[in-house]
Amino acid sequence: MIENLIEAISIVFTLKMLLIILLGSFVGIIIGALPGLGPTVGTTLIIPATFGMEPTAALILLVAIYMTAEYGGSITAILISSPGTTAATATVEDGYPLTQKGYPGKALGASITASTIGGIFTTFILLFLTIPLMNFALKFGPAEYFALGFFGLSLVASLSGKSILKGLLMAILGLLISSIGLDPLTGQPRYTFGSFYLLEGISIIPALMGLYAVSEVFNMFLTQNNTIKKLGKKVSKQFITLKEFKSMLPVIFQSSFIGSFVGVIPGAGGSIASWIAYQQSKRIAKDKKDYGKGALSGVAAPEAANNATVGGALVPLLSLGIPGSPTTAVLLGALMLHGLTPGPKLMETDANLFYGLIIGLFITCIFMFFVGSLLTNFWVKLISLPQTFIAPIILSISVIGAFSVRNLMFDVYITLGFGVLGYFLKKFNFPLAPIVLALVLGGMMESNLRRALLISDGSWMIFLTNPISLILILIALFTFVSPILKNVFTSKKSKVS
Amino acid sequence: MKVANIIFSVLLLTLMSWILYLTLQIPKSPNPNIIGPSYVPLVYVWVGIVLAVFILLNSIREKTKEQFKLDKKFFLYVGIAIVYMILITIIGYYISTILLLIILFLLLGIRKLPQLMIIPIAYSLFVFIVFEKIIALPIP
Repeated sequence: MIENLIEAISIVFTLKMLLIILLGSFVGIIIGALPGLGPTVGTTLIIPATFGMEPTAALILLVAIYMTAEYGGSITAILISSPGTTAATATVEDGYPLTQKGYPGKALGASITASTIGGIFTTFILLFLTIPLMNFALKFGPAEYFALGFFGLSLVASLSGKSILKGLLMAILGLLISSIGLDPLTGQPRYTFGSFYLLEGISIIPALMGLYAVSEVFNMFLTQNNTIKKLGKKVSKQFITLKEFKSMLPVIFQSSFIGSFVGVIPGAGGSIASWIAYQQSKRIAKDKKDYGKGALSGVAAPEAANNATVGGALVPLLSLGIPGSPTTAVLLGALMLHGLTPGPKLMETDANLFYGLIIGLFITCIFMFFVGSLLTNFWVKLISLPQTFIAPIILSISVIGAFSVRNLMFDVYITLGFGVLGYFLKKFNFPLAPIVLALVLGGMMESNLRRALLISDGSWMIFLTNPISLILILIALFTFVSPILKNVFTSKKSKVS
Repeated sequence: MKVANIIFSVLLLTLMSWILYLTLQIPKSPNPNIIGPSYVPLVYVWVGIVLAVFILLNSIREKTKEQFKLDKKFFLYVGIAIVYMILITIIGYYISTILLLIILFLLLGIRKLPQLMIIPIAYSLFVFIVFEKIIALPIP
């Protein structure tokens, strides 16, 4: 492992790579800070720019954006109480009161410090958790892979929205969309309407670009707020002191730990992790009396946690090839465009990609710290830019992105279609994450299901006699049933009382 | 919101039923022991129909006071996006994008002439230099 890391250092420490990471950190922070745009939109919009790069550079750029966008969300949360990403919602609780008191510099300082430590912590988690999981997954056959997909998807469907029914329906919709095109085993066209373009199915990148970026563009057009809240006082440059830093450390470590492990669970991303970390930090924070009124630990906890989910979320993606969140689904799409399939065999073929990513993430965190803390005044100016300028430009960048995947205008229309669909689904509180995950996992799930049934001569028992697949399927079923049971019990209780 | 929710649920149910109709037309596997191309989508679509029915029932039962109004402007913006995409195939990306940005900026209430002119042109130059020349992306 040490030799691989040293080799990776020599790959990453080139001027080009460092510039790429710097660019990624810059773009990531901006996209994270802009309300409505988060790591998913950021990575999707930048994918076209990675086409000409080697896979390692492309992955590092995307992950740099993912990591820094998680920090960027806190800037707007702290300064104008409008979180830039959903994962920064908890940061508002204590970040904005600090700004009101005249200490935005301290709040931003706590956020960047916590984010950096969270990011570095999770890089180690990624390094130490991925390889054992890969070795374990090497023995997986089609039954286990189907069960894994089923497990991941059902967790995402039940965790990502308020209504489990809506989440499940979205997963089904995504699975059906993923069935468009030639059947993977027999080559029979499905839902193609005789169209030549649909034979290859719906490309993931245009669909994602529509669901996340274009739908948000429509939303921005219709709810334009040109009068962004003006900042009361000038941002004081006063950074956190060493003493304050030391007092936050226990909270930062606890939150990094929570974030990393919540990140591994499919469907539970930065927003869930940051709330859990915020709640848990109240127990051990030295300034717990100030919670809700501007406690530095209250800023550090969610921010360490949401950055820490990044490495955690990459673990199942790299070791099993199963993304657990929309952003990792984008990364999977990007890797596939570069002809790479993440999973247990990745180490045999592209060990440098993995170790390069580890080093790249590490440098990203360092760069994020400097870019984030030195340019505070720049971020303040930037967020006062009205959305009016940003939304139309995102629309035209999406067109380039959708077109560039296959050089087809058809994909641009697909993007627009998914944009309209995404807009309505969001309006009616249907979660988008299950569609994206189903879209990415659908093909793999179906082929593995059918391969498993070929092996077992058509007997479905193969999924139950195999211990790993049995456990995964049971957990998946439990996630469906548990909210229903909870509802039944709570309604009985309320009737009794 | 309630009426809108019901309408949307009915639309989803209709969508699922239509997909069911399409799925039934996919040829079945000749060998009953091997599941064919239509088997898995058929399972999905039946589950989808059941879910859509439950969501419809929920939307009838629920009581919300939230108002949902579909802004008519939505269709205007979608229309502009469609026209933009068609224009790209006729007059190319750069001119259409400059037009799109100017029109959208005007609609969104920007009246300052320098902003209206400089941002679209600067953006197009940026795309040309960075995307087309440096990264060598295909531009529609």
